[in-house]
Amino acid sequence: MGKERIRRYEQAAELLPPRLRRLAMELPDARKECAEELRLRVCEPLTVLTDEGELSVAPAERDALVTEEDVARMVAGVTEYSRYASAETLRRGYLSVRGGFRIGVCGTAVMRDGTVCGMKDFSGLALRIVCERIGIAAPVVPRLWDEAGRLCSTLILSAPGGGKTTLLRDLIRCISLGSTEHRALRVAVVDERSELAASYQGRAQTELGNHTDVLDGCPKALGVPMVLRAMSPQVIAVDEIACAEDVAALCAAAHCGVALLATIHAAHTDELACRPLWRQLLASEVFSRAVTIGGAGNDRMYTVEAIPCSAGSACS
Amino acid sequence: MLRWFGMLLIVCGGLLTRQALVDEMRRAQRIRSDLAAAFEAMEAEVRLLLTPMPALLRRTYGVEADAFLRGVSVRLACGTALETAWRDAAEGLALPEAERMSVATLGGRLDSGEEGVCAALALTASELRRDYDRNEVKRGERERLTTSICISISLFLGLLLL
Repeated sequence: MGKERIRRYEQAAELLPPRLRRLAMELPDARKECAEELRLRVCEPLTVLTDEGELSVAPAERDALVTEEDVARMVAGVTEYSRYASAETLRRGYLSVRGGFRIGVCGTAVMRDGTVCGMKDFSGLALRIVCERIGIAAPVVPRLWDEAGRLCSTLILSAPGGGKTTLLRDLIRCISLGSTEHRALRVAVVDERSELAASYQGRAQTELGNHTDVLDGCPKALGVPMVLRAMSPQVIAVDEIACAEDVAALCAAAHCGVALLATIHAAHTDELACRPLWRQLLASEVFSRAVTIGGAGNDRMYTVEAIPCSAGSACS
Repeated sequence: MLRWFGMLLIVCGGLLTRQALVDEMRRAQRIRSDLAAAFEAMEAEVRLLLTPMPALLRRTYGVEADAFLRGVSVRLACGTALETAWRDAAEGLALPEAERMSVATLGGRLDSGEEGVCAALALTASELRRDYDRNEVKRGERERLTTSICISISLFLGLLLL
């Protein structure tokens, strides 16, 4: 696992401009292993986000100072000098790049008719090191089936950065591959922000199983009915339910007999009853299982609960 | 006899010079035509499919355009920025200075939004087409003029030798 994380870090560092790449590569392996993001801010040193917070990659911060040219050059490089081809994701503040990485982009938004139509004068980039943790869902999957052998629609909950997407990705892989107890199911992934499959030019860069279809870059509210009609899935997976339209689309799909897998920003199930949108989700009675993620780093705990909540059973 | 042979050599030299000049003019026309067609095809691909630049550079358009775009591709692969790679490749085009500059400046406008890229490609293509048409109208006249000048000068030098 450690070596894999170091390899992913070095792959990510390859995307940096040469001067910063050299500094990022010189980081000790222990730091590379726990790196979650590389952050570039104009006139600030290049930093790496780890469990301990943001750390400069160079002992002398002056050496790691990021210039406007560095940022512009990196954007040009990762978009392969084809900013027009990435305009849609750039408009939404991120870029999906080769290797399954995502870059959050900050700068000056170009507005037209009240909507963001582009981004210019880039001032900050957050290169997220997407890490697959193959097998983390293995202890969770057996608890997601009911007595009749059907997959229960499941919500994954945690605070931001808690590992929801990583768990969902592995859940999709497990369900799509099947096991000796449960046959493989057809899974459709509506990957609005290219985080689950990390698609690059139409190809998934992460392991999602061999019965998985990915609709990339499409809003969930539009994508769920599309995959439902076009791909006849048995399971639909989406990341980060955030608005009423998403909830409505998922409810409609659930009433067609499809199991759902989704993530949501909430620390625990009690929080679901506190916000109107989540109350609406609970009232729809679409989801019957919740997986709450606790702990941090390699010591994450997954608690599976029935919805409405009963006593949870913990598995690590 | 030796003088007659010398005169023959001078006339042959004149004819070869004429052929080289005519070939150069025809090649410039081929470059204009190929590049214009390539830029039009690239513009259509960007507009319809948002095809990324590396894939556009790998497409086949025509001998002269392919050689130019391959040059850009090779420089890009070496880590050169698109603008510099494009400008350097344009330096090698067998076109008059103004037209070379027009092609070279296109590189700086390719890493922008869809509308900007399409407009830049379409503009350069139309400039090249215009130059091609203008030169095509005068091509016969220029070739005849080149032929007559080359033959006249070589005959004159030959007669001087005699």
